[in-house]
Amino acid sequence: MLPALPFYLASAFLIGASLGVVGSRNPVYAALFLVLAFVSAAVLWLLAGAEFLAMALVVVYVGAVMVLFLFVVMMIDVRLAVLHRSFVRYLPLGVLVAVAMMVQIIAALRGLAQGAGHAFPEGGNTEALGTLIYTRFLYPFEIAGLILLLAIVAAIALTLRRREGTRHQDPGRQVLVRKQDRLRLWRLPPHQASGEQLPASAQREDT
Amino acid sequence: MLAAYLAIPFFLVVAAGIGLFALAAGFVLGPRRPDPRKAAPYECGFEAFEDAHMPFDVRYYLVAILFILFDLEITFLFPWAVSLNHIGTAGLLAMVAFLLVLTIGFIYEWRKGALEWE
Amino acid sequence: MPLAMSGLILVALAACAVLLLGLFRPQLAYPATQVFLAAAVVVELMTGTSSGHWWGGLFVQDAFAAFIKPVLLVVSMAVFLYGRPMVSRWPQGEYYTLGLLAVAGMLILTSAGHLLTLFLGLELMSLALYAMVALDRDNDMASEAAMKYFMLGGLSSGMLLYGFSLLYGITGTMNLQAMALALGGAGAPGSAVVVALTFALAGTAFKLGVAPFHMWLPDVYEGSPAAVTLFVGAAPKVAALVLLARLVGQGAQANLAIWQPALMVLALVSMAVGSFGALWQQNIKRLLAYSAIAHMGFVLLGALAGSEAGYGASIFYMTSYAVMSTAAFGVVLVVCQMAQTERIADYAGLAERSPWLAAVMMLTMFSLAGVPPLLGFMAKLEVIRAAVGAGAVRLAVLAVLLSVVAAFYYLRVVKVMYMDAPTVALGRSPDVTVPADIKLVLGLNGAMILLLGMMPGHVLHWCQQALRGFLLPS
Repeated sequence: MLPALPFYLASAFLIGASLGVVGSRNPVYAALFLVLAFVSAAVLWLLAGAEFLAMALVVVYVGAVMVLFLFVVMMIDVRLAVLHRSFVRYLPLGVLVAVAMMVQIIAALRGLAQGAGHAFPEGGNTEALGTLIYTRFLYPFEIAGLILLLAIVAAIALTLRRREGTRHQDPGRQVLVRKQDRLRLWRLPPHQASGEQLPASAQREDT
Repeated sequence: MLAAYLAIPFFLVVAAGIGLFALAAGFVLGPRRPDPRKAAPYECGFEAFEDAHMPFDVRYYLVAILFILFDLEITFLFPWAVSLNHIGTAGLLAMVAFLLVLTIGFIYEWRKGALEWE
Repeated sequence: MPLAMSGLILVALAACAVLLLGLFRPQLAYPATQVFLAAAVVVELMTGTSSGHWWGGLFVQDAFAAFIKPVLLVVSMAVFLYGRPMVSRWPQGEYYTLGLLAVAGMLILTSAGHLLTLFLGLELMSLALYAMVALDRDNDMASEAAMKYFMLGGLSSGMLLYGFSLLYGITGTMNLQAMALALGGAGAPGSAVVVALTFALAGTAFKLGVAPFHMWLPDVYEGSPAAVTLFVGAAPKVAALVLLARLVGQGAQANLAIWQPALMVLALVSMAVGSFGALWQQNIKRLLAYSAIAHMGFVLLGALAGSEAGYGASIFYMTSYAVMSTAAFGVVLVVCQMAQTERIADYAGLAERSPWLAAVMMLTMFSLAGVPPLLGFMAKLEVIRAAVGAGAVRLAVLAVLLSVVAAFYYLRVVKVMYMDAPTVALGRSPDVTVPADIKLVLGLNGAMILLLGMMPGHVLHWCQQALRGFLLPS
């Protein structure tokens, strides 16, 4: 069964971090609290034996999705006062929905939980999961590949815009450059090189 | 099984300890004599006139989205690698097909210049 | 690997190939797409009869799938053909890749005997559609439409998924056949099944565009570029009906008492909203959007019977609707190219300017209105017969009355085309030559509406045949 102390510790962190997400006035802090909430949830999953899900949560959500979240938070210009006012306004409704959901979940679990299996497969469930995904669920796995391909195409087609007139380095051409391309020698008649014709900056440096 | 993860809490405690030690040392040892001038936000000599939340260029999002997609690919590789002994040639070929599809996506991404910053 | 999967694999390969072609030879993306789709039609017709279940129902080939898949492919081919002049300014490889991936999603959905592939196919299709709507990036209306479509589509997918998860929790299986047995058994808790089916039905209704889950539809139809509206309005509708048939018809076939009243309400509200909502529309795409809502209500008339004959009528209706909607949007697209207008008033004088175009549009409008002896009439007759057979006589009467209301706005379009004096848009627009292949296929499309309406026997027979053995013997 679940070890009690780590479970309560992780749960406390999860609840505290979730409160931090909705309660913090700075949206960046809220996003960081969400990271903490994800990590605590990952610990809970780990304790329940779902090690692959825990890893996926950390790798995908904490590692990648939250980066996107932070960008989005930076992008939208959040009016904190307005946000706070609406938070207070919708609090009663929110509490009502939360209570209703909790009652539902409890009711649902009481009816169904007995049948759910708790057995840890031999060798950890990442292995068990892999054995299933790549044999019996091979077809949905390939569909997932198509969906990822679709996401790549859509993301690039919808956001990539070439800019005109940007300057960037091309290391290959930099290496291939030769002396003739850059340096030009002029043979100037000597009488033109007198002090009067020096550039203004050079003169100022002399004085 | 959980014993394998015992190192993580130790690691967390040590990491938190080092972080807290650095903060505490600075707090205890450093001189602190604030006055209103020192405590004011500093922006090149001006008063701060803008929020620090600057909108990011949309290109950051593209990079982040592409990162998520290939991150998901890695997530699929992980259970595959662990179970490779049980899934046989069919499992191997399944991953080859999956990776081929994503490689086509990668070729597209590369040729389109989505990986270049200009 | 099942032989019946060849068509799907071909379409998926086509998507990859067209993506690469788009990088190196963009002008070849369109012909390659059509060649691949045509090959897939041939392959489906050849391998479609090899029926069976694979991987615990993840992939199912039955008579139903064997009928639907060629329909989806042919409709998509016509859609790509009509849309080509408009999309020629857009990135070619991307457009056709997204289109092919959407088609692949529909094929997956059609062959799904399992909640997992049902959902994955639906998502593959929907995600491709969202991106296609937004593909013309300089078009603000299209971006807004894509946003709405994406938000509400995501919400509906979430509801559907929640329903799926409850169904899995109740029955302990994701296989639709096993689920039907478990839901029909004595062990299933009644109230939980009601909640699960409510969520699943609401999500399905969103995807079908049935009122009161239709809010996104007029805006998306109007905002999308006409070529994409055509795509969204044809094959994906068939796919959404497949979702309903597989999920509710097959998976929850024992729970008729729960979902039949819900489908009746959805059908009635949808027919009413569609018929009355269209009366005041000035934009042809918006008019066709409300028309779509009304027609989806009629489709449900057949489905609510819950019998093989009922689903046969629904499938016949949906196939007919796909043919009619493709023809209607085909004409809209040509007019868009000709006169840069989508206002109904600007269709005035179309009969003089381009008699064949107006004739196709007139046929389509009459057929959508349900005027005999056209295809739309036969389709309506079949679903109403199915509804009466299921004992929903009052609903059937209301459906007939509402289709009289709907006839008014279809006839208005015909009146504008034939009786009104041309407005500036059509009168002064320069001559745009319509490609010969589009002319030919539009003509064929119109002829189909006429001929299939007069001789519906074969298609109707196929539809009924396709549903044989669809439901478990009770």
